[in-house]
Formats: sequence, C-alpha cells, structure tokens
Amino acid sequence: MKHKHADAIVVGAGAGGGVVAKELAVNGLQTVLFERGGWVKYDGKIHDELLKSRGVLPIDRKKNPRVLIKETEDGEVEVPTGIGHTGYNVGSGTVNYGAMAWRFMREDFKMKSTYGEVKTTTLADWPISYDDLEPYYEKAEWEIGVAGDASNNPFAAPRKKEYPMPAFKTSELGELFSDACKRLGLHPFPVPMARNSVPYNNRSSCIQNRICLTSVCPVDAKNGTHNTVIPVGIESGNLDLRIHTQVTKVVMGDNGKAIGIKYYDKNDLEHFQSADIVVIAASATETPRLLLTTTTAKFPNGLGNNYGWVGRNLQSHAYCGAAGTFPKDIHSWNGPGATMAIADYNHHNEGIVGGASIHYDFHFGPLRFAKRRPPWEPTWGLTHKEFQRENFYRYTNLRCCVQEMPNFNSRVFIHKTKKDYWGMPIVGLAGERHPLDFKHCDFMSDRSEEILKEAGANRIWRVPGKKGNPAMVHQAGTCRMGDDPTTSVTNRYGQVHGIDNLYVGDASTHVTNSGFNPSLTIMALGFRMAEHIVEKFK
Amino acid sequence: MVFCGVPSSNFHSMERRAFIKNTALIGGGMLATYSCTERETSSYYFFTVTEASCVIAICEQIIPADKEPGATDAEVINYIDRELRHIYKQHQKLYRNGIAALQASCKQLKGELFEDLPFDEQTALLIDMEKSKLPKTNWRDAKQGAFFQTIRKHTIEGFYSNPQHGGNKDHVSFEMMRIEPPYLF
Repeated sequence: MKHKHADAIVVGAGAGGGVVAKELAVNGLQTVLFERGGWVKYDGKIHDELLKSRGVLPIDRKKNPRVLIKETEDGEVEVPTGIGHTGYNVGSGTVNYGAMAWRFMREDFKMKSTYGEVKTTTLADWPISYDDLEPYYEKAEWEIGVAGDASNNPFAAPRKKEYPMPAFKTSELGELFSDACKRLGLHPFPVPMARNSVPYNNRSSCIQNRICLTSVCPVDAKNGTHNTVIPVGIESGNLDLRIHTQVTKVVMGDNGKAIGIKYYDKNDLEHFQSADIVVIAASATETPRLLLTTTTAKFPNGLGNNYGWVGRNLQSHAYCGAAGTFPKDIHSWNGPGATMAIADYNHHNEGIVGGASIHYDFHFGPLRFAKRRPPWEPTWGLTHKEFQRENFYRYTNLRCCVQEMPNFNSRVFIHKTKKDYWGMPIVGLAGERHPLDFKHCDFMSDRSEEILKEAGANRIWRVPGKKGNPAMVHQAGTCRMGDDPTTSVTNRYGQVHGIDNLYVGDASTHVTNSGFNPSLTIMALGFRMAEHIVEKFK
Repeated sequence: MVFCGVPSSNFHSMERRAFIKNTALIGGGMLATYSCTERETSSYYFFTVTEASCVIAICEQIIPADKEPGATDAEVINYIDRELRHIYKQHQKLYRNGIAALQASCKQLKGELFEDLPFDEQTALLIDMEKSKLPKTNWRDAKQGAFFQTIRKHTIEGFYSNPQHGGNKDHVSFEMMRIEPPYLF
C-alpha cells in the first residue's frame, strides 16, 4: 500500500524521535512518526509491585527475539536473550523512567582531549561541545519540563537560564546523604527531574508515590515525549502518528538518497511511505539493525557502514555502588527517593578515566527489598524475614552511574539466518564491558562506602559493577557522530555520512555516554538536529 | 458449603497449627470444590493434595512464622498454584518432578515424607537441596538447585506481593513491615 508523499519520516516515538517529529511538524514539514507500540496509560499497575516487576511496558520479545554471543571456554556460543529492549509505546522509556534530566558536563564531550588516548578503547571527542548543545538543553528543559537547582553544583557546566520548575524538596534520607557528603567536603545538590514539582504544562504536580521508576504516572506529573512534544506536534496538524507499525527497511533511490521506508501495520499489511527526509530514532539496538538490514551498491554492508562502524561501541552505564542499613529509620513511605546527588567524582579522579554521578536510590516496595541483602546474609529462612522486617525503612543504596569506556567489540549486529516475525534479520549482541569499567566501578564503590560510613550506616556492603554486554537502559553509541567518515557513522547533526537525507535521531549517535542518565541529552540533540533539517529543507 | 475432611492423607502427623490453618482455608471458601469422596480430590488448580502438603512445608521454611505470620498463614501456596497455571506454566514440570524427587530423597534418607519431618531436619534438607547435595539418584528428572531457587523466588513473591495474587493474605507481610493502607505503591 502506498501513501501520500511526506516531507519527513521519523521512525520511533521515544526521547529522540518524539522531539524531532514535533519540531519538524511545528515548523511546517508534513511529518509521519512511526511507532511499533501504542499509547500507554496508567492502568493501576503502579499499586502492584509484582506486576511492575514483570514490566509495565508491553515489550514483545516473541515477535522480536534476540541472540547474545557469549565467550566461553569452548569459544563463542550463541544464546537467546531478552536484554536491551526499549519501550514498545509512544514515549518509549520516557513514560516509565526515573526521569532524571541531566545535562552532560563539558568533559563528557571531550573525553579524548581530557584523558588522552586510552588503549583498547575507542574513546574520542564528540564533534560538538557542551556550548554547541547548551541552547538545546535549555529548550528541552522548558518544553519537556524539568525541576532542578544547579546552584549548589560547582561542577555543572554554565547555563543561561534557570530550570523552569523549582527543585523537589529533599527528604529525610536526602538530608542524611547531603550532610554526610558535606562533611566529606563534597557538593550535594538536587537531582534534576523531568517531573512536576509544581503544576506545569497544564498538568498537576507530583503526588510522591513510593514507586516512580518503572511506573506510568497515575496523575501524569512525569514528563516524557508522550505528554509534551508529541501531542504538540499532533496539534499542529502536520504530524501523522502511526502507531502499531513495524518499520522493516529504509528504501534507497537510484540517486543514492533515501526515498522512504517499508513498514507493516498491525494487520501485517506491508506499506510504503515515501518522504524527502528519513530520521531513524529506534534506539541504539534497533537503529543499527535498520541501517544494517538495508544494502545498496554504494553501501554493500549496510547504510553508513562502509567503514564497519554501524553497531559498534555499544555502551550504557556500568552501575555499581554500595548499600547499607542504619540503626534507625531513614525514610518513610513517601517516594520516589533519589532527590540528591553529587557530581564530584564524574571527572578528574586520579588514575580513572571519567567516573560517575552518585545518588541514593529510588525507593521500592517489599518485593524488591527482599532481594536486597548483604552477600553474607541468607536469602531465605527466619533471618531473611527478620532482616526484611527490621530494615525496610533503614536501608538505602548509593548508585553510581559509571561512564563506560566505548570499545569496538561491544556491538549490535544482524543475524545471518534468523529472522523476526516480520522477516527482518534479528538483533545479535556481542562483546562485553571494557575491563577498565570494573576498575572504575571499584573506585566508585569505595567512594560510596565512604559516604555511607560518614552517614552512620551500621552495616555496609559493596554492590559491584556487572559484567556482560551493556545492552540495557541508557543504551547508546552504536552510530557515533564524528567529522571523519572513516571512524564514525553520522556527522555532527546526526546525518549519515554519504546519505544527506538520512539521519539518526537517538542515543546511537553518542560518542561517549557520560556518567549521567542520557535522556535529556537525547532530547537536546533532537532539537538541534531538527533545527538543522528545517533550515536545510527551506 | 460442607466441611468434609482434611485434604491430606498425612493429617495425623501434621501439627495442630497447620490443621487449624487448613480448616481456616476451607472455611474461607478456598476449597469450595473439595468433594467428600474416598479419592483424594485436590482443590488446587495444579497441585495434588499430597504435593500441596510438601509445597506448604517448603514455603514455611522459606518464610517461617515467628511472632508474626509465615508463608502458611499468608497462603502462599495459593499464589504459586495460581501462577503455575498462567505466567509460570513453564515451571510445572520442575515442580512436579522436584516435589517427587525431594520426597524420594526424604524417604531414602529419613524414611518419612518431607512435611512430616521436624522443622530443623527440613531446614537441613533444604540447605542440601539448595547446594545440590541431595543424593543425585533421586534427581534425574529435576535439578535440585534450580527447583530450590524457583520455589524460593515464588514464595517470596507470594508473601510480599499484593493479596490479589493469592498470597499475602490480609496483608500480613505489609503489616509486618509497617506498610499501612491504602497501600499505594
């Protein structure tokens, strides 16, 4: 089935795609936004920890299977895996995320200049700087809606405008964390949150439910692309959102340009949509799949892949930290926690490349708490129960969002023989986190222990970084941007080298992924890319 | 509804406390379909009556009653039984074979069924099962370590999740943890 020609196509209605589609639409481009899922609404699952632990976003792993290449003593073994899927819904992970809305630091765009060549990594500078992105961070903060106060963070890069909403008041635990940090000479400040601390954008303020991370907000006070930019785009009359569609191919013309995409609707009918501009924003695992699936005479190994960089440098964050219990209650039922953080250890740590932000964790319920035990504690029996009873309100853990070292072997590839429900080659994942990440995790766990000790914890244990493939939340890096087409996939605007009307609009373009949650950066890059497209189109 | 007996052939060795609980279970309507025939008819969706006795005893080991209710009081068995029909369908075989293997091990080592053993002996057996140290000959059809971890996980889920899933009767675990109504997570 053919459709009326569009000015632009955006594939994927997440953090990046939602922003790009809206910006194009409000600037007069007839835009079609494709999303494999539908709208997700609050449906009561927030009050049920068990259902939430099974996932509130409707991810269909059966229709979209994946494999993971594991290194074993007997060589490489291919195993089925369910890791690294992002949301199947309008807004993707911005519907159920913890909503931390960080700006990266100056150094995060200049990793190679800051730390020099780091062997066995692909550490590099971004082709753009913090200052290039600053106006778009501001746009993202105001259009999406962020509550924060950077005045106590001396490590934050300069900003021209304040946050649109005041920071959330901290909690008893936040005070405990902050006081301990201050006594250690550190600089605690409120975590910037894409959540309404006051009514904003015609929606109410947060009601402080205990569990926010992983949940759909029952009062719509958490801000993602689903309740901000996408509705604005639709209102403009220029944005055609097609939900429950699976895009399977970028169609290339004889002129070497993208001419549109092929997709299936929810009745499995195949369609063709043509457009002047195609933006792929399908996540750092699905975007490279789409590029690699399409081959032409000029790109025999997949679009943008003549130098073999598509799918490489898969990164997320090597989370680690330390946990502890206290001799008295340190939090009450109110949530969602994670109000305070420090950025003292994000950079310039001796012997360490990069580092991490540290915040105390989001709260959770009894079910997840039943898994939180020191390594020496039993996992069942009376002692387990007593720990549960005594420490539910006396426990916290410090989370370190450790910046991963990009490495060429950590990657997304497409499977040679296995196909998904729509006949598209499935995602294969291979490679592991870089060994340096574990050195950095150790360093950060040490720092976390110091803070917990200073705060008065009576029992402290380390939470080490996890080995394995980094395909998980915060996935990034698989179509990195750069000025040199032989060592990157897109240019500084996300435009695929050699195909000037094909763009990558998600975290795939991140050269490095910082020591912060990446959603605001994805959004800022989306605003910047859209501005470039609009100028070029006119 | 008629109360017509105890759903286990091992009743006489069951502790009085467990008896009270089982009768409460019936009184509460959970066993409404229980029929008064000689044949053992299970009111559970998946478990037989004898299997259920074993599972109840294992669950009580995972979360024992002390000054506050344990897995039996919270009716965790109902959670596991229900989920085995739905989301944990793939674990049915593991339970069926695992229970049989545990009972065979108990018979071999102690000459009794698991649920009839003293509490401490049950604990010791489960510690061995967790470490896959029970006699291998009885465990050809199920992996003991995997069976232990599965039932441990399910017990914790049943006990600490919302009562609507079948366990955590009367919010006993929430009360224990000082979580107060209206339970808005």
